[in-house]
Amino acid sequence: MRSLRDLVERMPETRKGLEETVLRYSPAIKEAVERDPESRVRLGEIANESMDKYKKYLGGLSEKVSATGHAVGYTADAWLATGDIVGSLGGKFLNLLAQIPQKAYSVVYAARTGNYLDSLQNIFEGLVSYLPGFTVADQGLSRIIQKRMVKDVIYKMNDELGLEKKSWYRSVFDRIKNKYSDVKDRSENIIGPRRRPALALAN
Amino acid sequence: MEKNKLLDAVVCNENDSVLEASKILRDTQTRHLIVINDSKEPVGILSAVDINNRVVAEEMNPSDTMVSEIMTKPIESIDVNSSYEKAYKKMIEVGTYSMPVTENGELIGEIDFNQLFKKCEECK
Repeated sequence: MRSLRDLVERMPETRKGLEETVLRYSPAIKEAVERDPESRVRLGEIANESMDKYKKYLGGLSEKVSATGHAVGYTADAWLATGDIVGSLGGKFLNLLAQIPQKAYSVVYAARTGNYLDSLQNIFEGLVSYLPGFTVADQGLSRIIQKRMVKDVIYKMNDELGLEKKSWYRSVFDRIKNKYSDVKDRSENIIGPRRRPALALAN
Repeated sequence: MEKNKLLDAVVCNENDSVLEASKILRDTQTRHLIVINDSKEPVGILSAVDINNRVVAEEMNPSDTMVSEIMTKPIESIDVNSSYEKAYKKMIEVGTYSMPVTENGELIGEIDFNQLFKKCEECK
């Protein structure tokens, strides 16, 4: 578990977990891999690639410091109940300081992977979490990266299966259907990597 | 060869009529069809020019003529486990710019010179 939010919705830490999360989030991909064993193999390969790319950014010293800061932050949030606002904000300030290494590391992560929005999100959430009672707003860089892995795999699988794009023969059909008589969708006459069982569903 | 990088092959069955084949050509806006048998093995090739020269110009009835009667046959194909180099040599030998790709005899796609050029570019 890398974030308190994992108690509600756990993000994947292993390749298998990543595959399962992708299948849970995308019914279209789930349907495709159930129909086509080759798509299942590709899902495994793409999940592996994504893991290889991002796993090295998960965890580390900055996350441990951040987690300690969050513990102080949650305590400070609870301390608000005593009415000691100054004391609570003092605790939250310690939390804020503890987040600096992680926010700095998020910039390094963004520079290496090109995911600048992830870094901005992480920094923004860190700032919001300084508000009394809002420590939970900061989900931490690792959880953001775990979500990035899921999005990455879903995007690549959608692209590979053509789930969000119209197949060329479908585009041709749409273009000429009113031009000639008795024009039919010829998906059954297409054999190739871009004509998989899942495509028939997508179309 | 990488399966995912093959081209889609547009097919018709050898028992289809020429009229049906010409409609498939029209509906997919392609110039040739790979003709397959019921086991999905490539058995011939049929182009729009073949239909013109062998059916229309010969005043045959496209509804009554089977694709198997006018297709060009036999057809050379290459197994997906072959190398790109072998595919290149075979295409040069046969004198064609594209070739059906099979796996255990069954058609799974097509490869053409463009694909081979792209592969050469990747190897540089």
